[in-house]
Amino acid sequence: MRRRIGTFGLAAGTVAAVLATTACGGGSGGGGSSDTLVAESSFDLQTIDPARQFEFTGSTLDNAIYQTALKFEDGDLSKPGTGLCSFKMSSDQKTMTLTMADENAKFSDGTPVSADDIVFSYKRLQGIGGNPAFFLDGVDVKKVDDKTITLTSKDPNPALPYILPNASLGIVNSKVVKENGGTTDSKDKAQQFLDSNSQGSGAYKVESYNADSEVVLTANEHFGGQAPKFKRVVLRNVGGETQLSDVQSGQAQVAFDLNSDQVKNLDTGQVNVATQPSTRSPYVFNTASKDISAVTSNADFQNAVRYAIDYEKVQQLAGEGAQPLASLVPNEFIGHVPKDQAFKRDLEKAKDYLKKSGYKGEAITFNYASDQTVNGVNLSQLAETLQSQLKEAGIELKLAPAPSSTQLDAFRSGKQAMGIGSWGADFPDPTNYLVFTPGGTVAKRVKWEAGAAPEVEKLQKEALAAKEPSDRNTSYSKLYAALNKQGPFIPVVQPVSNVAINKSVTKYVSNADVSFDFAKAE
Amino acid sequence: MSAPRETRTTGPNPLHGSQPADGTADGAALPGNAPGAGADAVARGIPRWRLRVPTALRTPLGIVGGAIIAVWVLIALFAPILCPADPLAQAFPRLQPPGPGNLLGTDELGRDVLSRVLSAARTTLPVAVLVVLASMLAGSILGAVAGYFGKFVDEVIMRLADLVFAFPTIILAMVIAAALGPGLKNAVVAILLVSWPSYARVARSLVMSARSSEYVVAGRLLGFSAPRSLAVDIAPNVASPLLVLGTLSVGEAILTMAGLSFLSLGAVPPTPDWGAMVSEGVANFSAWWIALFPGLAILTVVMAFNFIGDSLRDALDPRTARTVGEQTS
Amino acid sequence: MSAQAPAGQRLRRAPLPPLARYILIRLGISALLIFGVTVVTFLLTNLVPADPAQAILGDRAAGNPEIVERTRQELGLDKPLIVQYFTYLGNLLQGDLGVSNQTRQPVAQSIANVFPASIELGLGAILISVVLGLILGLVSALKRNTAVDHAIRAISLIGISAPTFWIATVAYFVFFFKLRAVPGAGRLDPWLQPPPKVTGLYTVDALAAGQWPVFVNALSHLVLPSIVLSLFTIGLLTRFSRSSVLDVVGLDYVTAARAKGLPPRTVIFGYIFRGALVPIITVVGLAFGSLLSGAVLTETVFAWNGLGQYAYRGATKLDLPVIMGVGLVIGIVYIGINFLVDLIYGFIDPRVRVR
Repeated sequence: MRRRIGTFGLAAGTVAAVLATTACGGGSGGGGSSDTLVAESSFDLQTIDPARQFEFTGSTLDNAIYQTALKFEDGDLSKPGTGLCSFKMSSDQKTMTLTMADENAKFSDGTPVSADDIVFSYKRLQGIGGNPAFFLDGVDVKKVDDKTITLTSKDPNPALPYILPNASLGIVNSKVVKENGGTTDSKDKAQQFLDSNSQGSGAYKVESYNADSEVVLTANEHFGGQAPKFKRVVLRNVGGETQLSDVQSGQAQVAFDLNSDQVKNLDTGQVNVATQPSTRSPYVFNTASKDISAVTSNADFQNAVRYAIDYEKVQQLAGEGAQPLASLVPNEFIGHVPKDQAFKRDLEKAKDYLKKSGYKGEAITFNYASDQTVNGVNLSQLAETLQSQLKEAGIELKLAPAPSSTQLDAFRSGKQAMGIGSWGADFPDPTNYLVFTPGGTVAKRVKWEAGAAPEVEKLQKEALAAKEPSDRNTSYSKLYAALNKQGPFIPVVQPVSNVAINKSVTKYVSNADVSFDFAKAE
Repeated sequence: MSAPRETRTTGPNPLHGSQPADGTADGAALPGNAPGAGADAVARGIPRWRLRVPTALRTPLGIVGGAIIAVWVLIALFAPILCPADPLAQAFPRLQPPGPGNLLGTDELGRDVLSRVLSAARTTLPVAVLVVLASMLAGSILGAVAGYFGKFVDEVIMRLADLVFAFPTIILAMVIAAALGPGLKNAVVAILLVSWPSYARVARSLVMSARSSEYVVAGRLLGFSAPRSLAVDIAPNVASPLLVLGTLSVGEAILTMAGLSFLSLGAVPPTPDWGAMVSEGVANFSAWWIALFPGLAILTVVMAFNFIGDSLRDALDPRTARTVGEQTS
Repeated sequence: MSAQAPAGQRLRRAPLPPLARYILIRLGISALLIFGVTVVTFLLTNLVPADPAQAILGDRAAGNPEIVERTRQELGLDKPLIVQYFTYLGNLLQGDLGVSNQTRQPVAQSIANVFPASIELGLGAILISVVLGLILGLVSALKRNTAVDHAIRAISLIGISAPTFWIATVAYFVFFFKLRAVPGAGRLDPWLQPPPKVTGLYTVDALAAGQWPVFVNALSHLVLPSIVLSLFTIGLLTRFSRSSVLDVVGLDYVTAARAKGLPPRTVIFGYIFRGALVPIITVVGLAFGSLLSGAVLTETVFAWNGLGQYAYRGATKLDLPVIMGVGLVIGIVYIGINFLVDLIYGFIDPRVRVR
């Protein structure tokens, strides 16, 4: 459920929105120094050590601090392209060759980025075995010469180009990190050092780091690209309502966490809103195990729920720009299911299925994290909405909110009968959603074990065998369409991610890859 | 206890914290007075304060407080009739400002705010009274046992009380509620666990003073057992101050409950709940009506209980009043 | 209200001078209480039915038993509870409160960062409540049972009846959102840099550094949350000073002063007020302690990055070292203040020492 959101906004064909406004917003409260950018977000910050960070705030910061071997061209998530390196994939999709491509790239101490740095950074990510380690699961990293690196996987790994641009795979200055306790195994001790002394080649470096309140970035004078206009970036930890008033009054230039109602109330004379479809998919889960619940594990009951949800109303709740979700895969990714195939409410069908299921009106405990908001969709509100909608079909839900830490643990231990979960894309590739097929990481949490749905599993095999992008698109789309018609997971809506930007920022880049690019703002 | 809100304050227990030292001292403050008023009343077989309670409420504050409570009790009783709409039905457009259709507007899910504010009284009031009665009972028994037996028992119980006091109420309650999971029942348990010490302290000091009074000593000389002595001779004489403390604490219990709900550790949705409603409103300033009205409801109810409690406290004799007062604001 | 009043009956012969013995006993009890606080926080936080390791792991990592096991090891969760406790206690004795599970930042350092914010807010609130509370209390006592007295009583009761989080919200909405009469949330406008850290109180540090605009800005940020937070303590101090003054008014020396024909002002401020001051000072100290620890909800609404918010985040993220660290620090502050109060009483009222 809790996953990193963020970095990857969208996918195919989204054009980066470069917006230039001439008028300067009148809201600036006065006194703001012009080379400091103040951005506000509700922190989920654990660290900015790239090999460990796995949260939205950490990614936002690491995007500004570190460069990656590959990056998405113009923020188009379907086009991974040259970053620090250019790449070539072997025809069996097993070997990727990276060639150093950016001669100007220098770390914040002036050292040029070398192939050794890339190898070290990747091996460190694997060795530490932290949250992002799975990105390079089963990938053998090897330096060939000073210009060349190979990444070899046992199985075909067509997702790799989509993985490498992730902020967790940011390249660190290997020499300095090693001097400060960095290793390529689980004994690595460099986290605290990296939190306050970033070692990246990106446009910024850390000036001060406080995981609870604010992180200040300052321009990396050795940065190889165009020097950023804002020399200093202050990212503050504040709640949504404060963000709203701050960005409106010009106390802050950027607000990351406004919900749909707050966005509606923004004064458009003062603030621009950059909207991107969310990469987080909220879903309803049912257990697949009769031992945990004979009711919710029943396929007819699950179908009754599918037809009982009023998706349109949920979409309204999620705000302007929210879309139907015909599978767990966001509508912009390859392998998604076209949204016109999404379920629509049909109370009669719901009642029929319910009758078939033998449900007797008993109350079903419905679990969710009460303090969690998925891109503006407050899960408490969603739960209350679903409760009242399912009731119209005759299903009684008993809400069981819990703080997210408690709920997370309980869900993962696989003992819950029904509830709300959410999945945020780690990388924009359909393989990221195989966790929902029988026996996958998330499927196991509802006891949906391998062999539970042979038809789905057959489609999965076909999809994994596909190599060409268009084949992959069709075969994954088939797989997820099948997955959506049966099984314990019911996607609810695709929310929107909003970034509010005060008009004193006259030029900015917001795209699927980076929801707000500090280095390119003016 | 003082701590209605976040501030657990020491409330005024000012010196309480210091309890360890004055263990004997505060008990000792009372002996002089007990035989006087107390013995007289006991002689007539009437516990001390009973006769004065009605008069006590005939102060301006008492009357206002009583009237407000009466109104809220009526609302709680007749909420189903009074509510213009089903408090759970998401039947209206979302976030409508107060107007002819919905007098107090609608919330984020399109429910009628007025109906929700009114029906919340049905859970809040009884639960608050219940939690106060429970902690009063638990605290008084513990305090009485400590005061009566003294020594080791006293030390253990009162040091436990000090421990609870040394925690900020709301954080302690948060951790307890997080441990047990959100829900009205668990919030009650959390409040119970943090609020018994006030009663224990008052009960203890009252019992200590009563214990040495002639009528108790006489009973013991007649061979009464400790429980009998506590229940028959002492209890009637310490009951009134404890009840006053209880009245003063209802408001506080409501505030703590609201605080827990505010942090989503209280009543489970969709049950209407004042604290939870304020919390929803905080996330959406433009819809100010969502937070304003339930907050006013909390304010009026708590204020009314405090008015009554304060008037009752004034009716106690000064020393007893002080003992009680230290536990409240 | 001087609970402290009179004395113990059990006179014992002490080998130490009574005052020293008294201080020692009080110190011992305080130490014991602090120890108790660590036990209780530890047990409570471990009662939470969730695995802190799960709270910091991403979905993929949590699906890998090896990673889960290693994380539990890193957090020390694989050891028996009692071992965990003693490890904690051992570190504690060296001043080490552990590191946050979530951010891996040392808890002691984080607390040192957020504590001054709470102190500043607490000082602001206590200042307001002392001034208003004393005045109201004095007036109320001198005009006992008049309409003025009733009105003040009603006001102070209303002050303690309002839910802080609500008042904070309403005040923020009206004075900031609508009127723009005060600056927004936080301790400083975001574009200002905090003054060089000496005390950690922005107002004081800004003055010390001669940064006038920073001082003005920090002060303006402080005003609204202080007022909100003070509402409760104003009521408390009003009631308290009223009763303390009433206690003194009837005493012989005051009557004597009046009889001497001293002007009322001299009697009030020179005699009554002074006499009532000691118990008032102690209650101010204790109220301050509670303000420090108690501002969770106010700090949340005003995005005031203090101890309360730190504790709240720790509690919601199940960050055991943080919860324990905060519990301990607050316990120590509380117990420390009580200890001081006891000492003051010990000096003032010799009877208390003998116990």
